[in-house]
Amino acid sequence: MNFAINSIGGIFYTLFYSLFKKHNIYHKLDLIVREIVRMGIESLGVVAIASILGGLIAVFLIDQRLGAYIPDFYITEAISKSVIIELGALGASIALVGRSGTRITAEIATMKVNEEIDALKTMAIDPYDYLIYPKMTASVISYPIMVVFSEILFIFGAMIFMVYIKGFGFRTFLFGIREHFRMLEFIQSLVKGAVFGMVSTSISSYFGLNASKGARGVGEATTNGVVYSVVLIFLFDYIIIRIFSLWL
Amino acid sequence: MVIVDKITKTYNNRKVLDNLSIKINDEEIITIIGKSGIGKSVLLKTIIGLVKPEKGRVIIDDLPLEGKNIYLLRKKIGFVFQKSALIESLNIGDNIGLALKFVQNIDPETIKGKVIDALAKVELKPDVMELFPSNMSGGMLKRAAIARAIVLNPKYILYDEPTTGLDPIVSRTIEDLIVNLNKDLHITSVIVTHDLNSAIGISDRIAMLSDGKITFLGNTESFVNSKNGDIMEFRNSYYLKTGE
Ligand SMILES: Nc1ncnc2c1ncn2[C@@H]1O[C@H](COP(=O)(O)OP(=O)(O)OP(=O)(O)O)[C@@H](O)[C@H]1O
Ligand SMILES: [Mg+2]
Repeated sequence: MNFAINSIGGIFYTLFYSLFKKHNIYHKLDLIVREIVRMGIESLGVVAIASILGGLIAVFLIDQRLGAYIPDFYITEAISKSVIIELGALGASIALVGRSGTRITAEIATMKVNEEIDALKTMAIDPYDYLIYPKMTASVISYPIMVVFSEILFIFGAMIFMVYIKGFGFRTFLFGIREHFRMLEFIQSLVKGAVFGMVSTSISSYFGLNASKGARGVGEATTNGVVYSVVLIFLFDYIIIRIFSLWL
Repeated sequence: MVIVDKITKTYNNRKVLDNLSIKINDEEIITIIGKSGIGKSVLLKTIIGLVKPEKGRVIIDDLPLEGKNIYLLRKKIGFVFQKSALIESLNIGDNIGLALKFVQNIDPETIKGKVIDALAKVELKPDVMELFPSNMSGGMLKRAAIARAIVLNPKYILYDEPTTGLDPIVSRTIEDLIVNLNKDLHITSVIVTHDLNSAIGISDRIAMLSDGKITFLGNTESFVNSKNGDIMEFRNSYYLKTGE
């Protein structure tokens, strides 16, 4: 319990300290861009597979359980709504935590164990500044991009099922998606992506920075990073949908 | 001048540093010796603020090492880690130029020149700039780590075991390097080692750390002739081991 409270405190310290400290963005532009590219490339595969399968699964279940009671047209609506309101952002973010979040924790924890973090400090380089801030900024950009990518592939997965297995018309499918599209829901998913990105990256970084010595320290830090990321992503998901429900 | 004033640091209920005080004079080479695990690295890290003692304080050039001063004072101090601690993901050139880029905001061309100069001082060729730490030998890593410290023109350099684990020839070049940096650039050097020969060879003063305290402090001559129990034990076991 004590550990959890300390960790949450540390995570928010990491989040706000990295965000609100005065930074020279231009100086770290190369670090930020490199991190965006890295997150994108390393997570592309897992996000793609998870999203396409997610789309297939969701649409299959809706069709199997409700297909007899509702017209096919509403299946399309149900899938596009659930993807844009919830599944895309959640799915992509969890996949990113599994791929990039773990990498960030392991990377920082290894630096900690090898005293590289201490070495930065002795050179008057703030590790929050040099290591964490670029990753945080990168995740605010790359998470929403991956969310959009995931939404498209989720719907693509659903389309495969509807069009090729159910023989639903391609145009009707697209029309169904377009008909029910609401800009604000889409924006909500982008906001979720950005917030989940910031939160999970500060969590991954916090546990990396506070890893204990030895190879075991790296493993423990990585596990904690994933557990806390998943829990806090769900918590912030709830907060964001409550805020957006004022307008939606 | 560095004043370590009544420092206490406890790990797992053991007072690794126990009300320890020591003064380090400008432009001297002082070596701290002591058994493995006695707290030499902890003492060195306290001097640069990486370890926060429960009691006591460190004063460097009349400023206490606290709060905003830490950042200021660290710019005057170079630290050479026991295991070099170069950033694995950066090549040697970027490692040495890191603080020039991020702290001093110097342009890349000037940085390159300074990095090459620093490498020359530690007798490394400019081609090592492209190498990554994982592809370098222990001796090269130590020298690169020293180059990373001197490129920032520090007034003090703290060396944690600069020669341990290196062959006698490389050890010798590193010792010469430390002495030359001290003579030419007037860098005050604090060296931690259990290599007694090296300590006697290059130091102005030698300090013995034992049971959390400095139990001996004096010039090399008084060290060699000392009848202090700790020192006699240390000397005997050292010469027994090295067969000298
Ligand atoms: N971060 C830490 N957490 C817990 N204990 C520590 C920590 N750092 C050092 N210690 C303990 O403090 C004692 C002194 O460690 P230190 O590394 O200073 O020894 P040393 O004199 O440098 O030894 P060596 O010659 O082997 O490098 C050791 O018993 C070590 O276990
Ligand atoms: Mg040590």
